[in-house]
Amino acid sequence: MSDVRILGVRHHGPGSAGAVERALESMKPDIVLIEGAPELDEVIALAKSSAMVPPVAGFVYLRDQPRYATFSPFATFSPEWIGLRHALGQQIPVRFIDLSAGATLQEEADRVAALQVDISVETTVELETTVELETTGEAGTTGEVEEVNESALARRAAHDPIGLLAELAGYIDSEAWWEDVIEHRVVSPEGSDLPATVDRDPFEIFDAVLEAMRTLRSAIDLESEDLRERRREAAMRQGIRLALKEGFQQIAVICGAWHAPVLVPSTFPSASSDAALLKGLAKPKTVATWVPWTHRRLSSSSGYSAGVSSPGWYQHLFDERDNSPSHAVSAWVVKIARLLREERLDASPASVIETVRLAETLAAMRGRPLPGLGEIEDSALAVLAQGSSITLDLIRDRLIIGDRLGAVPEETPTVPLAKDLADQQKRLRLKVSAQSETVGLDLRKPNDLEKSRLFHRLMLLEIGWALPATRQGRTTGTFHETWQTEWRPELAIAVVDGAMFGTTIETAAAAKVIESCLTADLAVLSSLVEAVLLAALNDVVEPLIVSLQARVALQTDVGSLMDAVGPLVRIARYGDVRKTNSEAVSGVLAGLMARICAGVSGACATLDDEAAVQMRGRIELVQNAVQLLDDPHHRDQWMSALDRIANMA
Amino acid sequence: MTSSSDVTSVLRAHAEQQFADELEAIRATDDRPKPPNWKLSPWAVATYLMGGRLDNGMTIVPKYVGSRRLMEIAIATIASDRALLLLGVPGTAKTWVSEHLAAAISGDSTLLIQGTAGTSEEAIRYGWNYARLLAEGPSLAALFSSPTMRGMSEGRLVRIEELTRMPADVQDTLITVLSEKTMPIPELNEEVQARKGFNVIATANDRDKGVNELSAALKRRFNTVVLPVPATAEDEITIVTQRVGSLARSLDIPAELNAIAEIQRVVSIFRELRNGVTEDGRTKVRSPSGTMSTAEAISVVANAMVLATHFGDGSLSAADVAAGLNGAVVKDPVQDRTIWQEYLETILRERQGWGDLYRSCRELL
Repeated sequence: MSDVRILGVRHHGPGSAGAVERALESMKPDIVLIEGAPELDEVIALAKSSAMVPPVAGFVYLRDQPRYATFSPFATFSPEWIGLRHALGQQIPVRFIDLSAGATLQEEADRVAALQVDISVETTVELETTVELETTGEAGTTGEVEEVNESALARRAAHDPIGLLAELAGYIDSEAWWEDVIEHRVVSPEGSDLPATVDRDPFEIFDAVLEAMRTLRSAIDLESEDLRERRREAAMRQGIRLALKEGFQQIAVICGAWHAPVLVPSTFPSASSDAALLKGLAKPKTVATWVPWTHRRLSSSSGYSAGVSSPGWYQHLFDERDNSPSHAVSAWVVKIARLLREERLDASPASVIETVRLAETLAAMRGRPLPGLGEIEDSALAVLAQGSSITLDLIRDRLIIGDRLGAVPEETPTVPLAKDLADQQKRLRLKVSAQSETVGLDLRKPNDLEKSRLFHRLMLLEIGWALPATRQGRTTGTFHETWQTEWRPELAIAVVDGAMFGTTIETAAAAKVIESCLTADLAVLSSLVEAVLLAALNDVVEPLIVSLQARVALQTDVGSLMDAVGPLVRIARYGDVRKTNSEAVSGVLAGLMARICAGVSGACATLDDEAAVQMRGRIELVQNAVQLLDDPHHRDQWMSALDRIANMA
Repeated sequence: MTSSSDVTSVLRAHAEQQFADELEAIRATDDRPKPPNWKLSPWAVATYLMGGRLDNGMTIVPKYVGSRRLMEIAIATIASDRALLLLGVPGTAKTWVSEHLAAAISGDSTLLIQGTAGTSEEAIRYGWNYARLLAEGPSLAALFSSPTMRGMSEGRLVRIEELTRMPADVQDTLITVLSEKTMPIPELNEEVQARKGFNVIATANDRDKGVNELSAALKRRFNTVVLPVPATAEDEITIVTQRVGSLARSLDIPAELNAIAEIQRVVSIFRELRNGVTEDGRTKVRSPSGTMSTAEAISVVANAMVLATHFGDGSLSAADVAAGLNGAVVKDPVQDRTIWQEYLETILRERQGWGDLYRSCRELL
């Protein structure tokens, strides 16, 4: 008789991670099933290598449309990662179970294609570019009043069951609730120097979580549950059924807490009903790999939906899991003090002691068994930072979120863009090193011209490996450029971001520019034209000019129009030196100048001091541009406009 | 029922008298552990400060309208025997909070030392009765104890106002008191040791010229809580309404119903001038030299109510408010006047329904 243990966790929760570790060690499973995109199974073996250092993310994308991709992040304190490493270390099978990422991505791609995607200003198309692999986020911190609406409640419960429970328990912050109830769950009366769960049943906590989730789910009308959620759960059940059929005896399932109740085999609906839910889903070709990730991206402030807002703190809690909880608090405050000393701020040992004491008093006042991050932050504000919120922001940014960057082993399949970049670097004989190198280019030589184009394209993709060393690198008017190259580890992440736009640098840069056409404002668009010409992305020039033209026609604010003139004039005047296509630009320029000359005197009418200074700067810019252009028609137009302004007062 | 003010001829009763029934009611229902010599538990003190509803149905008026976390830090600081320093620009309720904390915790907010440029050591440590000293020689009877000494020997909270106005050498006499909790009397070879329940709440503002910055050693002995200006307009309106209400009662002014409209206008003008931008964020505004604090807003409205009652027809009008407004904004006769004029012309005139205020302010300029 197979034994299936459901370990319902809080994603990226260090307490959950510690509990999973203990449960797996006690249970000794013969297979581990983890909630995650099944496509990642093909690269799962790479996680065994010691060169794979979290934070990393599983990266799955549609082979033919890399724009549609999902990231599944893992930190050292993610319970899923613990499960993965345990299984690989014990050499037992481990699989990801969930709805196929390819199906979701293809659905998204079809949805977007069905809309009229037209590069005109009127259509506001929201290109949903990445679909974050859905993790029923527990990072909700809400103090809002509960809506009585049933379906809203269901959605909320599915997305944030912990937040809901926390609110019911009277906590505003769901992380604090989980910490108190789950992570700090033991405060022995004898003294808090024992590690939290010395000889407790490792499954007690998971049983409790299962019960809580079961109660929550029964309280909500599940008919209104998302179709996607039901499909996901059906897919997970299929994974468990497969393992049972294959004869595994001790099956461990690690999943988000919300899903735990429906994954208990005794409550399974029939296999055919699950199969019916999953029928007809697309099976596109996908590619899966691992990419390095950062703690900053884990934090909810950077938009990741199921993120945690304090990964640095969680890392600390996980590292300290074998020590007593009060040790963890003191160690954290010592870290804060050391950070302050690095920044040449005072942080004496006496202040550290006082901070810990205040944190403990605050925790007692608020009825919490142990100080959590909130109490430590408040105490640090009052004692170490002496009330200054600027210092606290420093602590928050550097320690609580933290700068950690992960690494993947060399043999990991790279994204196509990274491969293309490496090929180009080799072909053009460009040295890639962590030291800063200066590269001087003479654009009359074809090889150097190619290097310049590569650098400009990388700049469009925001991959900052090469940066212009002097201001001259930015005009079309010279044949000499100087660049500074320096490879930093963070650039790997920028390359991954760029990889979503295309498989080669040229196509990716072009695609990114096209996307900006929809959202960028006028000044950005016109400098994009210059950048595109420097990067020799000739296919993109026309659509860009069209959208620029349209934007000019609709723009009523003369100031923005004036800001856009500079780059366009430079192109029109100096186009020949680089063999660039600058005729189209002249047309836009003519329209732009006409509108500016018509509207500038009106725009100078009622200005306060600050706006007047800004307008004067703009008038100077346009004046310089007109002189540079040396076109009699434009000059006359501009002069009469200036005349009108002068005669106004 | 809310609290009733003390029916005596005193202009402003102490907090522990004014809110005596609230404190009594909280004490009766408070069953949480109290630190030694505290009248209420820390949680109860927080309820008293932030307001709330008790189990027996009594409503507690909020004394501090703002972040609860700041009050919790302040109370926890005092509970852990660390001195508390309240910082902030003038008019952000530092003295008010300090008074109510002392009233709630020790039941007595009168152990007060006012810091001025002329404060000497005697105010903090002890003084001598010179007649006795000469007649009988040094003895404990010849000593004048300061509030600090009394607080230490009785285990109560001592309040020090405007700590940074005191000369630095006088400030530093606090260092031994705060770290070792004793006051040595070297002349008599004696000392006074603090009893449990003693602590110091100090306030300081960072806006004035002529402040004596605390030395690093002294600063380290305090936990600092910075009280901010009210974050939202609603908070500020609540504060002003409440305080104006209690001031009005003490001045025997009949309750006003339409004061709320005027209060909203005054708070809006104050916030715009303070923040340097209109409330919709579109137009920049120059800030005058004064602090435009909430406390000043309160006095503008109170002033207006007095004018209306005694010199007007009993209902609050724009003309009553205008007098106080002009006075609050124009502190520097040259610069502030132009700023105020500019504000009136460019912003106030354009507002719908504010014509009466605009005209009254223009007349008085």
